[in-house]
Amino acid sequence: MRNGYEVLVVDDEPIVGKQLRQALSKDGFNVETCVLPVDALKRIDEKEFDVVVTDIRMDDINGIEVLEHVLNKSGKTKVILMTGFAMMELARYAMENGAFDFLEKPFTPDDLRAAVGKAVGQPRQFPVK
Amino acid sequence: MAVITISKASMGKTVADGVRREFCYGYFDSDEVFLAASKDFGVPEAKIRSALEVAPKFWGMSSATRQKLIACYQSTLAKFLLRGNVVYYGPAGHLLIQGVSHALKVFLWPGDNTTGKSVGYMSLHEVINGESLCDLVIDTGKTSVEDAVKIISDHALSTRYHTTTYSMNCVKNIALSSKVKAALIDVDHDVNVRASGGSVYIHVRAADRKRQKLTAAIGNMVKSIRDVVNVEVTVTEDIFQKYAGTYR
Repeated sequence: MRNGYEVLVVDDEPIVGKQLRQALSKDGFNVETCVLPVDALKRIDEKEFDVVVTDIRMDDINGIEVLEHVLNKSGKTKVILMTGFAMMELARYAMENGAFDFLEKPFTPDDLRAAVGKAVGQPRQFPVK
Repeated sequence: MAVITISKASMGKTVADGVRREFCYGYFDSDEVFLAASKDFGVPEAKIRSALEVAPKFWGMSSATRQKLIACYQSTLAKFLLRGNVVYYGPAGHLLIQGVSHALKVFLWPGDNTTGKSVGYMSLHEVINGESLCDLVIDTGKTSVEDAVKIISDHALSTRYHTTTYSMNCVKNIALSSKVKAALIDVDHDVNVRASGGSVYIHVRAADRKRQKLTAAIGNMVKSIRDVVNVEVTVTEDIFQKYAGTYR
């Protein structure tokens, strides 16, 4: 069942976008994916997304630039950054610059769904291991 | 919101209490962690306390035992920090909880009274060359309790220290890796353990002839630890043992 929330996933690896779309669709999110950050910026200008999930390290335009673009356009859209090169300072920098959450790749679908759920104000509860 | 660790110092408890009140955070100190670690790992509380608080002596506790007890403390401390929105007052918070972006690590520094240098507060980069063990160093000699509470509170409000999925996973990883390390220190006191999710990566050194046995033994020991999903053991050859063995 659709929950009506619009999510944009930006990652230069098509397989990542495909997997994240699958994971989020299970929770009813409408997911769009972009492989090229330039295309993502265009889509962000055209449409107001509830959540943008973006990789940080990409060619031409990086995730921090996507974050800045989103925040300049709309304060409502939440941005979740993900990277395979996570470090404390990078996480702090991202949060300081307005990111909603920061994920280290690889992450579990539950981590992603929990982060996106929290971003749209519908926190998911997972059983404590 | 941030987890705040405050190092032990003369006015530290008052500062920690002031910060806790400011944010209505939970509070725990090293006494609670000693007690909980003692229960968690079945080790006398006094031993853990002495591993952290008593300086090493020639005839004192062995390095391996100390490391094991510190790993027990670290694991329990990380478990406490998972609660979120807490102030920890005690030793070594900045050393044991590294790489966690939502932990604001405050070091209370008695100051440089010999030169009369006034530092107020500064990042550790300015105190220790290039090291970022702490986020904030406060000179307790020149800062009042009220000012110290204000400085810490102002920093803690920054979005820099907001909790992220990554930082929470870092704390979970610290809790798990230190638990595994505590279990394995008797095997090799130089054991290197890294945890990611439920996967645990272990590196030990051993003589070539012991390699296979050790890999299997470690695998079995670690698999029984709670929260461990997968174990990868790497055993590299211990050159010292190899040559020592040839002279037997």
